[in-house]
Amino acid sequence: MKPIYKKQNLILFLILFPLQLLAKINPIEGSFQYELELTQDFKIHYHSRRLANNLFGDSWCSPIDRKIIIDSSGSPTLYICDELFIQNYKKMNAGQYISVDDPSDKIIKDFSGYTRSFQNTQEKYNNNGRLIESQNGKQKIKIFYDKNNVVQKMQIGKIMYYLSVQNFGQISEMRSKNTHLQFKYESRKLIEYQYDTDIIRFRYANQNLSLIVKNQWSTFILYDSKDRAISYKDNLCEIKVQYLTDFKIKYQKNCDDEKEKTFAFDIDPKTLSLKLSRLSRTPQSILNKEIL
Amino acid sequence: MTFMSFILVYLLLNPLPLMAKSLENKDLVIAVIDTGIDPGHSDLKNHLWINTKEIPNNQIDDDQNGFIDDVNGWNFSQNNSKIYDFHGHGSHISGLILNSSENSNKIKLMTLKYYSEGASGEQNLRATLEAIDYAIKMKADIINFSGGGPGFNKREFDLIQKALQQGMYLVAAAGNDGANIVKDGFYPASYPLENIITVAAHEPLKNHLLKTSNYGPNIHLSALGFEVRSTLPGNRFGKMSGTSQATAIACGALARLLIEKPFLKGDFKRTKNHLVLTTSFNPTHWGKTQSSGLLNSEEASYQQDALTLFNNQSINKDQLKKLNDSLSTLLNQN
Repeated sequence: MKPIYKKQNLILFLILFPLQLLAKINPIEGSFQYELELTQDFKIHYHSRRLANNLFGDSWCSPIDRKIIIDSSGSPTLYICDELFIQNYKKMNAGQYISVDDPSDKIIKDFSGYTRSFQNTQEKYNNNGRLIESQNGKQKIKIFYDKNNVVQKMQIGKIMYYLSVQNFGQISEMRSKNTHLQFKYESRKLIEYQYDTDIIRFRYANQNLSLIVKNQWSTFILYDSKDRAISYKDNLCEIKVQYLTDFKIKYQKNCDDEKEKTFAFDIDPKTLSLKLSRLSRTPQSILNKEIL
Repeated sequence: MTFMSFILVYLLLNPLPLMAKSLENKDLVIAVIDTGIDPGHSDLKNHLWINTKEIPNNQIDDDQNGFIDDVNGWNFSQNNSKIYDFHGHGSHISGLILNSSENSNKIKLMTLKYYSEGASGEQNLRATLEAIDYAIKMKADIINFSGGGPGFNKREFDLIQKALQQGMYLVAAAGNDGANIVKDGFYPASYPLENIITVAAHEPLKNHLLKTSNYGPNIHLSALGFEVRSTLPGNRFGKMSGTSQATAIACGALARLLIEKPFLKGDFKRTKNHLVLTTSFNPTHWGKTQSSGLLNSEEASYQQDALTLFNNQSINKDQLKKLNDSLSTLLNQN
């Protein structure tokens, strides 16, 4: 199986158009992302074009949404956030596997399960392929399951969080000594997040591709239509990404205190990278009205 | 020196009368580098340039210019002879050039399709360069380019310079970014070449430059660029706004000038002076274009020669008076 997304593209997502309020737009595929910080070392990400069913609902991805599945040849495949990222490995030696895309990404199988090492990260999976430990630099997360492989508790750093999981497998509560986080879902979609008295509400529309976020500080809307046009609005700026063709986009930024800026980009279909169309010639008018 | 050799030397040194004479007897060919044309539109169909050396639809490059069946022009976007305008811009521009020339029966439009929405910026630029090259080879008199973009291109500069050497004008749009193009650069309008006439857009209701129009001292003049009615594909009509429309109107005025005053042909400085010095002065354009005024095709056509305008102090006095009046009004208001 080939990886759906290569790592270079994932990195590209994150560096493109950093926006305020932790929201990011990826004009290449016409998606937006939103980051929600649950605790200091634990963030979950919304990705408008990923519909996978994860622990925090459809399209939301957390650091513990990953598993290893062994294929018929005995080689492991890593699934991150179900369908967001799939990585295949090939056998090097007995019990040792190497990523088909990145030789620095390795998995070692032993009697207790699997250990994956990649860059600064080390992950341990049990024999069922469930993630049980993840260490990225100083950040360490341990995950505990019951006998039915349902996640029960999670240790982030030194703090233990007890989790409640609802029928569809989504986490509805995260409770520690000092913290109580609650999550509400509707049709497997996260619609409300409550942290003490603070509530953030999410509204989805247009075939799961729109997200409206309201919290006590601000209101902003990410709107993603079927034709991949995206608009983003907050108190200061309005951003519109419009697809002129599959390989050409227009990016408009209109902020209160400055002149509207418009950029045209070409998308290189081979590398999926964006290039500012510095060399272009285009007609210089717009149609106002047609007279029959 | 015999009389004949005297005449020969005179003509070599003074080619204008010869060129002017030749222009009197033939149609003025305007290469419209744009999105194509509706060749069946009732207002356009009688004004298509015809490459008489090419036999239509015989799949042979009869004139051996490298283009098969290029009877009315060429589609550089798809590299074929299909010039139909699916976009609308090119037909609108073509209609405006004819309509503002007042002499449309003497004008033929060479349709050179360069733009495709599906193409990348670089592809559209490449098609533009090929279209300019074609216009030069096929000896158009004027190129109308109601388009442009960022990025100096050496090849484009060289081609327009080649057009200059051939006595060909290029009327170029100042662009719709609302920016100073001396600072930001917008091409081909920003190339410092004598044969380029750069046009900004004017909005009549508000009586100032269109908000989105580029400006700068290297822009020669402005012309109407707001909700301008013209031809659209499918025998339709519609209104469009932008420096594209202003460019087409200025191009029509230039065509009228060259038809009525053929002695100007190839003398870029005199031609530009003629257009610039006869504009209707508008104080709100002050510092935003060279002329600080709106194209006045009637006046340009009426004046005998731009050189006489240089010595006609009353024009400048009139302009200065209007400026003083407007400044006084502004000062009184504050």
